[in-house]
Amino acid sequence: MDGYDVELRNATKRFGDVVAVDDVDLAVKTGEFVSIIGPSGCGKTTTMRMIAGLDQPDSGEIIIRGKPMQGVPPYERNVALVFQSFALFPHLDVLGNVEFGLRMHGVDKTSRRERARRALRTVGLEGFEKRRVGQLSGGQRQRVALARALVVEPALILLDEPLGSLDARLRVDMQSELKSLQQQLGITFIHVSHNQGEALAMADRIVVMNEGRFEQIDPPADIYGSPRTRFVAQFVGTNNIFEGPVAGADGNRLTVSTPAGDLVVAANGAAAGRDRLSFVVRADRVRWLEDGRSADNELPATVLAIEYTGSLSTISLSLPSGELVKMEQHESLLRHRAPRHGETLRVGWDAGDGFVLPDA
Amino acid sequence: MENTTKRFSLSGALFRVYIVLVLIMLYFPFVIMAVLSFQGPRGGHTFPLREVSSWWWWKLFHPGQSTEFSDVGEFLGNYLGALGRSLVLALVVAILSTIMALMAAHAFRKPFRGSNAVFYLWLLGIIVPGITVSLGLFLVLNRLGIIPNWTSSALAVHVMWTLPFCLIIFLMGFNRFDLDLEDAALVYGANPLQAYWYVVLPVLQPFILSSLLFGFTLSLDEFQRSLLLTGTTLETQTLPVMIMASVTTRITPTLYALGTLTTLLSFAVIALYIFFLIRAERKTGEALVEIREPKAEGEA
Repeated sequence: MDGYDVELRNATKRFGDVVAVDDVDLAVKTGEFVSIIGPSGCGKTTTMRMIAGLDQPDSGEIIIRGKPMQGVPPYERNVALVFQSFALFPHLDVLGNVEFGLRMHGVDKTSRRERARRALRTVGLEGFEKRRVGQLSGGQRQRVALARALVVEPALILLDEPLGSLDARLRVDMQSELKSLQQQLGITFIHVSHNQGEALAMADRIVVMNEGRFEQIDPPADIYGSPRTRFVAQFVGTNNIFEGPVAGADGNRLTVSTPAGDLVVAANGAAAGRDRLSFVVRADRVRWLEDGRSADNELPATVLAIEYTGSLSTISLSLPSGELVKMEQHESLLRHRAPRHGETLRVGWDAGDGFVLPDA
Repeated sequence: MENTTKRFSLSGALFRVYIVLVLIMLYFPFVIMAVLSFQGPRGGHTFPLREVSSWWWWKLFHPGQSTEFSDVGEFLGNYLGALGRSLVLALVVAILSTIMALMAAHAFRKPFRGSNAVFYLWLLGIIVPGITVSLGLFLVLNRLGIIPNWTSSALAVHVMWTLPFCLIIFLMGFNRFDLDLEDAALVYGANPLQAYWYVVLPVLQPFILSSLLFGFTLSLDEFQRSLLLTGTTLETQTLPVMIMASVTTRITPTLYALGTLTTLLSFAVIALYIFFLIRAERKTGEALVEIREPKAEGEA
């Protein structure tokens, strides 16, 4: 199909008895930034290696720019890969690393030097040509790895946990830099990570992967706001999940008998005709009901732990039923009155804050 | 901090004395030998030194003519010929065992059924006493009617001897080898052969050099395994075997001249090794270690 750089069709990969990648479909548009996220061992790295040609699918197809890749080795695919370890060649200097791909493709010396220099300029490493890899910092190695990928003008660039070995501050800087570089050059990026924050910040679309399957493929806002499966709700963001039989309906509002008590939730398409369902309440929708404020669902809850993460605090609460609820509060709201350990608060949320999950 | 580093430390001083003593133990015999090699023509193989001359060196370098000036019972083998054979043999052994060990190390990268057992079988060459290997193969060849020679039977046992050392060196090399490097080469357009030539071999270069050095030196001074397997004539024997033959007849300062010459040659080989190693490590050494645990410095 036109306009797609990569398509996976029913791609499946087994290692012995383990199905690493289980019948997945994906079409990545030209110039799109797609993130594949999931816990370790979910098959995301295998998916990436199959696109690069380092692993072959057992069944199904991988199509790059309209051409089936069955039997095409990695060195004839025109796909670039930025490794987590960067995998820079330690025996070559920066220029030697960047021009490696061009050298293997038989580009003559003058023009490959020229192109390698241009790529280094793009990633902001002008003047580093003669440096040895061992002399570079983590961030600089990252840029060299990126320049090595850009210079071959690939159909797409695969990034395997590209920020995984950088420290926290540098990671945030590189995130925005990667994103703007990708937009500026219009190259298709497929980014693989276990870090949802990275994906939410950079991707046009996110693929959430679990046990070899694609659970959901959607733009970040939908992944975050409307998870399609329980797994996605648990993996992305901080969510509370309640489950139980439907006890009653009042117009658009359903009452669900959960272990935490009867809770009301707004019905959506997924809820129609079901007598048992689970729904998600994001931690940032749970409010602390002080001074007689009210909500559709109100519960007493005891503070178990408070976790400060800069501007947000995540408060773990225990309900009388023993269920746990997480609540995220802005630091500014807690400044005048912070909850204490063991204190019992009144917390709650409205029916509209709940989101019924499509999968049971 | 400066005070603590400059403070006198007894253990440090003792350690330095110890090192100097070891070095004296190592090099004093060599110095004695070098001095005695300049013994006068009528001097013997021990002190005192009677005159200073290059007579015995002249004899070493003129094996054909030295018969005319020989003393009673003096050993008259062609040392230089034996040295040449030893050097050629050592070079061939080094190259062969390095190639074979490199290939074997590739096989050991992924564990296979019985790989542990196979590994220990490979080590047998180190464990078995050399003289039994020599004797065993000698008996087999005798039975088969094959005459031992330095180019055949000695070559075989030498490679058997050096192979385990070289294998261990390469196993160490692959232990530090980042597997992603090969994948990176493939992704960036190198076919498997090019990936091997342009990435794997250069990264392994320090280990290749070490393997060559080990193979060379172990073969060069090997006596037990050569004893029965380099042939029965002086024309096929390697240097250690010939030296053994000469010390059982009569020792002359020519032997000291030879000892001095071979020691200097060894120095030259080691200097060559260090030169190439520094050149290779300058490129790969630090990177090999650091690339696995990149230090993320915020200044990028």
